[in-house]
Amino acid sequence: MMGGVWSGTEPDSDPPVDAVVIGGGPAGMVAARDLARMGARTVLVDENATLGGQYYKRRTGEVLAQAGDLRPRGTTLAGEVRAAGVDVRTGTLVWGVDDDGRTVLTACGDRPGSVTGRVTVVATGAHERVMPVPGWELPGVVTPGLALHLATIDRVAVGSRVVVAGSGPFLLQVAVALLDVGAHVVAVFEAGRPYRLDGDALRAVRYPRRVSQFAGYRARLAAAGVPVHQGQQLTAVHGTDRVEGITVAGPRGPRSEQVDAVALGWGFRPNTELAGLLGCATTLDPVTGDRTVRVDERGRTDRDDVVLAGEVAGIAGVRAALRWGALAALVAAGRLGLDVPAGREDDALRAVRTATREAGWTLRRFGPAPGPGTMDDDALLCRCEAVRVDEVRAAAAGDPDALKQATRVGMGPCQGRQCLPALAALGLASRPGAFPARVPVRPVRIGVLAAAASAAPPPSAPADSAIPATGSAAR
Amino acid sequence: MRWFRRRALRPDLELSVDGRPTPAVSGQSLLGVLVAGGVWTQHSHPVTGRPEAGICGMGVCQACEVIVEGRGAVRACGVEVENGMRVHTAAGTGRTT
Repeated sequence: MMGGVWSGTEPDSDPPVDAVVIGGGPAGMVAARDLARMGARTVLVDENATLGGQYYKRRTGEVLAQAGDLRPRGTTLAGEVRAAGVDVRTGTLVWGVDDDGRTVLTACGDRPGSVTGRVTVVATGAHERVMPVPGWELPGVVTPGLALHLATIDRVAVGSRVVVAGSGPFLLQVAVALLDVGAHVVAVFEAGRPYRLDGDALRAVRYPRRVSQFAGYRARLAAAGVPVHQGQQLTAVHGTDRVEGITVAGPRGPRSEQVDAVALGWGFRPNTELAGLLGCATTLDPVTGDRTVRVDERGRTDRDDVVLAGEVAGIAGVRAALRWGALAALVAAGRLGLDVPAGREDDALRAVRTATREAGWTLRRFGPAPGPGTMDDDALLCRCEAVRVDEVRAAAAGDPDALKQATRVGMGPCQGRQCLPALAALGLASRPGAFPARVPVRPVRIGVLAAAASAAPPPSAPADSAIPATGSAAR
Repeated sequence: MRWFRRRALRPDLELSVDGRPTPAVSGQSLLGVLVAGGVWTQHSHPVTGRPEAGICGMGVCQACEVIVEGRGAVRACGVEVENGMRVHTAAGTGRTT
């Protein structure tokens, strides 16, 4: 371990470290590496078995041996994290925050733990945004992210005839990955019109890297005969026990396709649950209706000891996340009183700005996710509790608590993670704390909670959080 | 298709899914192996009883929950396959896990 700057005398067997970084994706890895290199005693916690997060998710075992390293840069970065002396705790999920508001409670399998940092860097990334359509609960409907991971990490095609639908730059990448594992991609249905040529499109000359990436995807899809339809919304998924077909609102009326799998998503939204539990002030995203963490462009929250890094602070892609990680490390180092060379933070900020400007232009091309008007009344809004959109609309006259009582919406095992974008689109997630993250934010074995409860005062949790364990107890 | 077959992975282990021998490659997720085998009734919805399967792949939806002998109920997306693993899905047992 590197020499730390912490010199407290608390008689705890597990004394605070300088920095706790939560999330081992691009931003978290860079932040942890840089903090350790600057001399901070740093712990990096990630729930996955290997570092990398979603973007740098890494192949292992025979898949790695036979198919090769998917993203060598992620592997290099993970090596740098360890070489810098970071205390890496993979396979460790964070499920809550203790009463002191800064000790994070962890579980590694059945083993409970906790770690306290003088500063906490939250790099929890993003969740995919999936909006309800009738039939989206059918087996065979997956997020674009799952379709991508199945294709790239497991080398498995999610179906033999697949459509990719929703919106966002990610859809093309997923469609290409599906081709790579032998799927027949029937079409990409992009709800927006990002690839039209207009005045704004001319700004593309400023972002040649982005344009060549898109051009590469489009060329690959064209060569395989995969049409990319713009301005076409998937309106329903059909099937009895699994996906059998879809309907799309085309320019000349509804049109159907027979498929056995659907990759469906409208981009990403920040995963702010942990920042919420840490008590960071939140704000309302005017475009999406999401409640997000109030954060400045350096990742600073209203709490001196909590810094955000990467997509938890704003959706901007991997290049921005890497740079945000470096910036967060400098901000956190400043908070720790470490010697940060003058000007380095400003340089890092400029790098973040460049990357987020490019991402902002790209995302603007796609437009926002569908609003409440396009949400079909017959679709299940809450998958866990099987609550339809019209039931929520009918009950929504009251406040969120009355809505939950009437419909149980957002109260199932996913804790509202899947329906929150739809609730936000309906304007039902706007009140602070309307659908708060609850302890445990991730399902943990009941033994972990019992052990944590006997070892320490229990974490504060609202009364409705009594769905603690994974597995049979949770469902 | 020939191009795809050339790149198909060679299985190096075998598990049992609802009693059926199922080849797999170490490093794959259990969810990936289920999808490759066309096992889409992974779980029964606890409210509706309808078949459900993983949608998120990130441990959030819990619709890919299956029983692995010796481990109990697990989310298939977060489990790496092991040789000899015995897996029971809602399709095989008919139970709401």
